[in-house]
Amino acid sequence: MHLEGFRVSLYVGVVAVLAVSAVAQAQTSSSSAAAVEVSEAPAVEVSEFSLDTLMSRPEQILLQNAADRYTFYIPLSPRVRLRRATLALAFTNSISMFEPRSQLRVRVNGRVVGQTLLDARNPVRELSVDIPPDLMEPGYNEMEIQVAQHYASQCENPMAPELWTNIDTSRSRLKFEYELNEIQTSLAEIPILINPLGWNPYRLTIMTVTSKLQEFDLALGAVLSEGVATSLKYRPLKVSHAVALPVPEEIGETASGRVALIGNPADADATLFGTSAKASHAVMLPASEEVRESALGRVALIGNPADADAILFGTSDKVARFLPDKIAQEIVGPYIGLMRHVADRSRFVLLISGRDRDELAIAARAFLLAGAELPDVASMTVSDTSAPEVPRYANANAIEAGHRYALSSFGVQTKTLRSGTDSVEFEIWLPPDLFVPASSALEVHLHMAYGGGSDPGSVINLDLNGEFSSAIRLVSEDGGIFLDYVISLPASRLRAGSNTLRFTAHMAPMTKSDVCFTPSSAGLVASIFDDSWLLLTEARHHVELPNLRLTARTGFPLSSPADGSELHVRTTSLNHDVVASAWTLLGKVTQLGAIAPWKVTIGTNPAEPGRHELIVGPIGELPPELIAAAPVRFGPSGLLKAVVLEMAHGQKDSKTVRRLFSVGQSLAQPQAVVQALASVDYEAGPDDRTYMLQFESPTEAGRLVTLVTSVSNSSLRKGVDRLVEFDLWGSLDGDLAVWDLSADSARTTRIGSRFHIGQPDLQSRASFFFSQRPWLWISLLVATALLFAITSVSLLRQRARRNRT
Amino acid sequence: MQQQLHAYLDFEPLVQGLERRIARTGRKRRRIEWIESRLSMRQIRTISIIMLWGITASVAVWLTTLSIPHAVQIYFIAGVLVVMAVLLAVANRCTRRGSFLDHVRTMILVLGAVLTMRYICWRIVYTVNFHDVLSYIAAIALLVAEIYGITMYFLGSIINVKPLHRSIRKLDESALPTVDVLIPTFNEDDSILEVTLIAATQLDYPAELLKVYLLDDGGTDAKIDQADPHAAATARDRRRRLQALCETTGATYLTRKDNRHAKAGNINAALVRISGDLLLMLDADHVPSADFLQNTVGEFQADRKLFLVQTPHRFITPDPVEKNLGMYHKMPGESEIFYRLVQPGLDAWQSTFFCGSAAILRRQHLNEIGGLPTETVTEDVETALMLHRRGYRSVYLGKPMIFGLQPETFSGFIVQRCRWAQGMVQLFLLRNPLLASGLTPQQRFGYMNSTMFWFFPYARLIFLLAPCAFLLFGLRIYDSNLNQFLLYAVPHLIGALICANLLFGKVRWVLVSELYESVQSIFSARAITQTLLNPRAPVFKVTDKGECLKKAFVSPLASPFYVIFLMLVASLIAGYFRYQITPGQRDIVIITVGWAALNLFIVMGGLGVLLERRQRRTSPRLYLSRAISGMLRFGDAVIGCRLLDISMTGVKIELAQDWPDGLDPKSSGVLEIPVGENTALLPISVVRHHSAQPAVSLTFSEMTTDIKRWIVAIGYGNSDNLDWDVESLHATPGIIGGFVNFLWLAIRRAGAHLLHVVRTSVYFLMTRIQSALNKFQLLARHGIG
Repeated sequence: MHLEGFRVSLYVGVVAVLAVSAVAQAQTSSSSAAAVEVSEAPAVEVSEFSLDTLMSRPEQILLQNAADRYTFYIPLSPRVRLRRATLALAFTNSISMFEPRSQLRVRVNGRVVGQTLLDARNPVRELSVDIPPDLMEPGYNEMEIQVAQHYASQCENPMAPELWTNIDTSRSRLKFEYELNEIQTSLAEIPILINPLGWNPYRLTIMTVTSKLQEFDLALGAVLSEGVATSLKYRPLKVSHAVALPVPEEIGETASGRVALIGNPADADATLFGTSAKASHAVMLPASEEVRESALGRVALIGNPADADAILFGTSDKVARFLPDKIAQEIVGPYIGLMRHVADRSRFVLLISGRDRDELAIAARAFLLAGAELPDVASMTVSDTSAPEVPRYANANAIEAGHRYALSSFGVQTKTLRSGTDSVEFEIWLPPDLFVPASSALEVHLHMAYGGGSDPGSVINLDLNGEFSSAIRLVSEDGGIFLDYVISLPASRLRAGSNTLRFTAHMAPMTKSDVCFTPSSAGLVASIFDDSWLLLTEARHHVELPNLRLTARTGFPLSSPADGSELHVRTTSLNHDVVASAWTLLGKVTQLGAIAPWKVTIGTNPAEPGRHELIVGPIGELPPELIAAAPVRFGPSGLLKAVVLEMAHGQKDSKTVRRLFSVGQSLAQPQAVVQALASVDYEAGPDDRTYMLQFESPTEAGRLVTLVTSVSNSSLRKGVDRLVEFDLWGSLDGDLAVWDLSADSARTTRIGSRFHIGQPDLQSRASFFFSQRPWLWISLLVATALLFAITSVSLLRQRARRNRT
Repeated sequence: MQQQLHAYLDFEPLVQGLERRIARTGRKRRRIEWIESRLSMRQIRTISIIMLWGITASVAVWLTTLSIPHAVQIYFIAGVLVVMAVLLAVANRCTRRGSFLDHVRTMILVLGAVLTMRYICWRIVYTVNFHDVLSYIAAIALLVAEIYGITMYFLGSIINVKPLHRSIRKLDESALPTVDVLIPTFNEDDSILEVTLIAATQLDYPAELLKVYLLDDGGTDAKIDQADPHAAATARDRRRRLQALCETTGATYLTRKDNRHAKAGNINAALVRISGDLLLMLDADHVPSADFLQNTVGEFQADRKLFLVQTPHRFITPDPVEKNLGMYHKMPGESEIFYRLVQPGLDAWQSTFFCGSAAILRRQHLNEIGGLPTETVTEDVETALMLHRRGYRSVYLGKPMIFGLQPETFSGFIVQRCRWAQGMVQLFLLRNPLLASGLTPQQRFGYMNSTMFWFFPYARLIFLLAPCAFLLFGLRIYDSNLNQFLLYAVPHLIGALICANLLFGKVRWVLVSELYESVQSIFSARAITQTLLNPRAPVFKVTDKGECLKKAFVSPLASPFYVIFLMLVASLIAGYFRYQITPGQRDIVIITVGWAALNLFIVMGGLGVLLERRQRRTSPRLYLSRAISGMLRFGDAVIGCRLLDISMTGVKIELAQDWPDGLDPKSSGVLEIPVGENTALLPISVVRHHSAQPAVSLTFSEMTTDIKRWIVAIGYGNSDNLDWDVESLHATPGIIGGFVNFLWLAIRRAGAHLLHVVRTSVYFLMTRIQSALNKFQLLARHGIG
């Protein structure tokens, strides 16, 4: 709700549209006309992935009892036009299944699209289902796998243990054949064009018009990356950089050896884009990307139309060379315009421009702030922008200790649950810098009702983050109403950031000895009322860093506050790959912070005081003071050469007495590990590993340095592109992560010292400190109590002596 | 050369540094000298220890309030409780007082304090939340009551941690002061006064230095001249009788014009007419032992600034609670905790106070404040407070030397307690010990403890009714779940029980204090509220004593207890339904149901107290702890015997042999008892033979003044008969045993109460039916209707 209001205010405060829609329409039609002339038939693309990629946590599905189901949600981008969709469902059913009555069926958006009998003689099978393309709608499509399972023709126990079917989610695959829709050149379409519903990470090319990047370009590209990332929400963003150059210009060698040099077609590592016969310009692109010819008058083709949209920015005098005169003349202020890619009409080029740098900055900022709220025109001129002040934690579901929150404030509406099928699920967001003491609890005060006729064994389960946490027994056969039913969960089980609470009703009808009894299920319902509330009893803003897991989950401290006012992104150079890596990482940080971080600073200089630093660059270019402060060592060839060995810290547990006295410690530090830091000097060729490392800033105490580095610029960029994908990002932990492109996950460890940030009071610090050292707490307490007793006795004796005298 | 070296080495900074250091050292030394000029080394040491004491206490409490994982806390708590229990066992078995025992006692109290502070910090921070206005008010009220209770617990612990047990100071026979014995009376029976007067005149003190005065407020001029002729005649008759009694016993009868300021006014009126150096104050029913002055006057000879020697009140009759519960001589009496522990504790802090009787005051000091003050109805405590403010000292001598009577009825008991409560609250309001000048900090602590204690009725009522607030009305008074309750509240309760057992275990069984407080609370709360609204309104009300109850009856004060009893029963029923209906609140339901159940048992005990049992014996029986041997003579037959108990009407003896064959079991004879160098010859008749032992009960067949003097000399002459051990012979049941005993007692006595109510109701009903039937038969016989 808060976010929505925020967007509206942005819309009202930011945008003044001066563009004439007629001009835009004319431009649109002319573009379309041009496209007809030159575009090829749309290519059919194929995407295939396993079912477990659609699950929040990959796992096997076990469908049990006489009837059971499992639901997936399949995203479908509005930019996609499906040609064919198929599901190959791999499953194994029980060999006790009674074939004539047992069946599995697949429903998509409520319609059955495939079914099969469950055959006891052929239990391991694969069902291939063609999903009618017209059944799938843009957005999330519900796909339900249902089973009806029986072991006899009649009179059976519906909960018999032999009634099961296992869905192998890693072998079951969904395959889509599709085309991309031709885009509409309206700024209002941007939320559709840049949407979170893709099956793959979103690729974006940011184009600049000068051969040599400047700090200003770096900052502007960062703002645009943030804007795109905001629209994408959680979908990974991979940014690449390219430069548009006019042909006549003399081309020198760029910083990156892998960038094409215009006019030197013989260079094996370069690609010449543009045809000098038709146009007076050309574009320099990374060599590996495919290039197609432009047919849009004098507009350059930008990026790789096969898989990337593009944003071109520059002042009007620089970009005019690539634009039709009519459009170039429209740039009379901060300008945002959307154009269709000529070579691939399913791709767009977003033009950000202005007459000078200030106007250019305003336009970029407008794109960032306005996000999805741009008007339904092809281009617009922005008059001004302003950004509101936002709270430190901008998440709509954020909770603070000591406050009551009605479930309705998390979007929950009063809902009637049917046994086993429905659930009430909502998300709460725990500020990432909260220290939750051991005594703290998350209290859920539930108002609910349940129907009659249920077995006393019926329950409503409460799952926290997918784990069973508590159950409410529904004992009365007549049903009942609970007001203020208190479920108290240890708050230590909450995770920083997003937490999911889910209520599920599991109600069985009252059983009778006669198995042929047909129970009524009408009463097997329960309602959760939205005026139920929850309370986090105690927490303090105090957190221990470095913690890559915390950063990966919540972006903390990089995305806190959410407006980015405490973050500085620092690149070691203005190399294309380094810059692209920084933009990509900034996009990730933006997505974790939920809103556009318009106060982030970026550059090649060190941060101003009070900001955490995200430093991106190859090892060889890292500032010496950081190399000295880092908890790892770098070898002469620039290679990381610290090897950490971690072993589980076990305790001999043979004697009862020992067990008795070791409980406190083992409870306090359940994840204790033995670390061995080895140092090996070696010489080797460059590898393609990338490193992410966090440690306390050597220049400012209490500030975090997050270092992302690799051996070379190119390996850095590839590593960062790999990093932002869900699986790798989700596996970050400790203070050092190392990965290469082939790795399934990062190897992580903790090798540096820790420090605390936040505003902890003494009580909080002490609680934290002694929680880690329980025996010290007990010893200190006993010692002070003893001293207290001794001084008491001493004073009393003095008193007694005085009485005697 | 030297110049070169100097230039090369550049000593200047070094010299400057040294000078600065010397200056600093000088400043430090001057500071120390300044402190030493004002404080002695011992004071500096004491201040240092006090500071260390404060710091360690603060750190210990702070450490307990940290959020530490529950698993660790459980180990800590279990460890503390085990250590406390072990130390308690050691302390209870340690027979010698000394340094080791001091350490053990203090350690237990310190650990208990740590658990309690931990609890109250948690209680304040986490368990009071706003749900609705009524709930919030109730929750705050409960919290305040708990804070009050814990404050009193800490004050009590500080005061009682090391009580001062004094030994008797020898009398200097060469310079004995004159002593006036003052016995104020208002409406007491002659027989009670006679015994007191006889005992007072028989005090072991030179007769020329001792005068006994009976200060009669029942026969004042105003009483004699009052308008009601019957009342005036009664007063006249009383004056005449008491004048005769004084003449017989050798005392002096004094009365005054009117009854202004009650007891204090009575004594003040006498002060101008008497001249003794010391004043022995006795209530009319307080019979002193002969050695009273021998044991106490020495203190005054030793300390010129001493204004008070207070001794315990020992009662030879049960109070209504003991009597109605049938626990007299089975458990320690209520007054023991005060006179055996609290007063010695206060004495250690030089704040023991005058309790109205069984005390000697120095007349000179009393004159300085114009006699007994009359601002409050507890003129005794007020007197002590005012003299303490003037820097005079008091002494508490723990040896009981007074034989007193308790109120017979619950109503009398309540009148007495309400007076005490009102007086103490008046003192709190009108002469607040925290603000009063001249007191030492320790005395302020002591008096605050003594006065604040009497606010307990409010706290007790809140504790009684708080579970009903939740179970019956759904008010959220205590936000906690069962785990937290077990983790914080239960350790505190166990710790407090252990500390209470350590401090008071030998004189107070578990839950008995709660019972006493609960039965008083409703009435005291009303009296205190009246005092709070108008602090000068309360007037002195005399407690009736020596009443005879011919049959059992339910006290007229029982109605409020029926209401609370029914509320608690209803709460338990409501608790059952709440447990079923609101499973989400089961934790709090379990806690409050347990609490309500405990309250119910206390109220059931209260119902037992409210069934007044009959009291047939008119003269109190005195159990003798010292063996007094004598001879029973029936003509020629002589039987050796030992006295077991004695009263003014008879005696029970243990025979040295079986009753001689042929001797009439109902014989009359003479009991010969040696009293000092003389032998008392008491004519007796046998009234009962006891089968369990060779013992007989005898009644005195003749009663003259001389015989009465013999009886008083035998029974009340020796204070050793009043040794506390008489009532401490019963074994202390311990925490669990005491708890079980109490529950069983409450069930039995409440059952007896309810049975009595049913019986009485049935009898009443049957009488009515019978009456109606008789009337119907009469009418039928006469053919009417």
